Amino acid sequence: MDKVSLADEFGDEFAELQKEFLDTTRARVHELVRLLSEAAGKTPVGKDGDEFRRIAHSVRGSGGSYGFSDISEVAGDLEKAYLAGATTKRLADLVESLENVVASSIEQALLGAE
Amino acid sequence: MAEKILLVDDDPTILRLLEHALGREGLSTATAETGAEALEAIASQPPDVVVLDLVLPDASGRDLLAQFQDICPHVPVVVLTASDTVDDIVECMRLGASDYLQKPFDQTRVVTSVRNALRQGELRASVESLSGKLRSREGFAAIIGSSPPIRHTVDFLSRASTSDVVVLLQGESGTGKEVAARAIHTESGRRDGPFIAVNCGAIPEGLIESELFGHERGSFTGATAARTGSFEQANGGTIFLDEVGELRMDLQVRLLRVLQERVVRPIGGSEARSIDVRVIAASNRNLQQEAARGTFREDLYYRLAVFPITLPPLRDRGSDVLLLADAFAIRCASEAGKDIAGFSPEARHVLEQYHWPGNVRELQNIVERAAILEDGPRISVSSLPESVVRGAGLEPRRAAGSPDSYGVGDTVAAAIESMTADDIVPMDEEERRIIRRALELTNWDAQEASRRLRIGRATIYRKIERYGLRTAK
Repeated sequence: MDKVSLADEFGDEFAELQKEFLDTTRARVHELVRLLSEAAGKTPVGKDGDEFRRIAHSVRGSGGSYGFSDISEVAGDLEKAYLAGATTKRLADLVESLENVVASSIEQALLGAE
Repeated sequence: MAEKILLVDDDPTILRLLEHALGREGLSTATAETGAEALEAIASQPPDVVVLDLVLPDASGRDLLAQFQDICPHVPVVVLTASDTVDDIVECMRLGASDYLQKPFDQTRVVTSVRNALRQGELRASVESLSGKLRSREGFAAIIGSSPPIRHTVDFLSRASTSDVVVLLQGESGTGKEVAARAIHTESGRRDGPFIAVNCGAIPEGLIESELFGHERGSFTGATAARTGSFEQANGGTIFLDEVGELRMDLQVRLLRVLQERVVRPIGGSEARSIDVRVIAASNRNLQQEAARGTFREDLYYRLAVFPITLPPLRDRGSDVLLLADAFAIRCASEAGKDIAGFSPEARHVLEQYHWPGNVRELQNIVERAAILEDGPRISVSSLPESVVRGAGLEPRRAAGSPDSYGVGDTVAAAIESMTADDIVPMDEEERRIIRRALELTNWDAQEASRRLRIGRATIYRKIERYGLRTAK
């Protein structure tokens, strides 16, 4: 429950920021899912040929900064796998893990707010 | 006013977080999501610190970092990077980043890093201002003295330095007219341009015209090559015309024309060359009186005397004499490799009482000579010229054994007694004689001679070279 204690420490404003961040991140992960399905078995790229990697990179950098180190960890694995030319199956698995960890963070944040 | 931090990151969630962390610390923030926005923000209002993400959609953070160094080199940049390779970090520091933050970061670390960068920025600013002050030591700070007349003069010089107005420096010989002219130049907007000093009284009459205005090749007998005149050499800077009162009437006319038209025509040349030169003239004669008498052109006088400044004689500058004497003594002692800490109380009294007809230059010469002669830790009366001691109303001869004793025999004293002003020789001649005598008395052992003269070994070898004493052996 360290995310909740973080929210306490930095006050309500930070808790609000965390929620905003989680909303944004959830949307970003949806974008990753969309890019994967759009690529239809090929390596997902997106805008400028780099969108997929850029989203993974951003989430990796921001997650831990907001106190969600597990989000950063999974996003980091995803970025690395992508750069290493992993199969779409492997990328899809990692995106799914990311989706799960974001969902559970949202759940906990909501619990903390009650 | 709160310090302003510019946050540059393409990820809005990171910007929000940084704004939050720094805002809580009372720091005001602005944000940019692209390199272009960042450059715009910096150009419109330079921040105190920049926090920069290295990966931006429109620019490489490294390029931006380099651009920031060009636009505002004093603003510290804290680099944000998700990269954890040492090479990237080293590269950023090499490019001038003051710190780096690795993503994910924690808020305390952000605040600490930005606070450190702010401090670094303040240090850079104070270094800047200190080096500005150091530069000014060459300017008005080079004019030593705290007496009201000199402070008043420096105030005028300082006003003159803010524009290109023609300045006429007047004052007795040795009052520091060239030092004042250089100070005006150094403090003016022309400080990066040349400063050309021409002593109109010291250049042979036949050469002065060519010296000032230049000549074309073959324009007169002996003109085997073209010569650029002082006015053209001073282009973009300042020309200092010392002893302008010594100029021949026909050259006064030419000078007047240069001042009016801002162009020079070299001798033998038909083409007029336009020049951008600030003119400072000086004379120890009263040019206004000379103009009234008809020995100096009145129209030129009025051209030159737009901003007349009179440098005060040393005798009117009170305790400045001692300030200057100490400054010269420190400089001479260090040049001579000697350990001299100022003057004996009696010597100070002499310096204060003497009337200094040759002004600062005379004081400087006397202190230089005394520093060479002095054997003790402080310059005593016995190292000062007898004329100065007498001029100060003191009896130069003292009982043998007293600290300020002359230590010279009666014959020498009598010889000095019978001397006239015509017997005064230039300083360097006197110095040559002293060094030569020391070398003869030590059987040309330069090391021993320098030890006994209490000057550095390097100094004596330099002087031997300069005075051509080696061949005298």
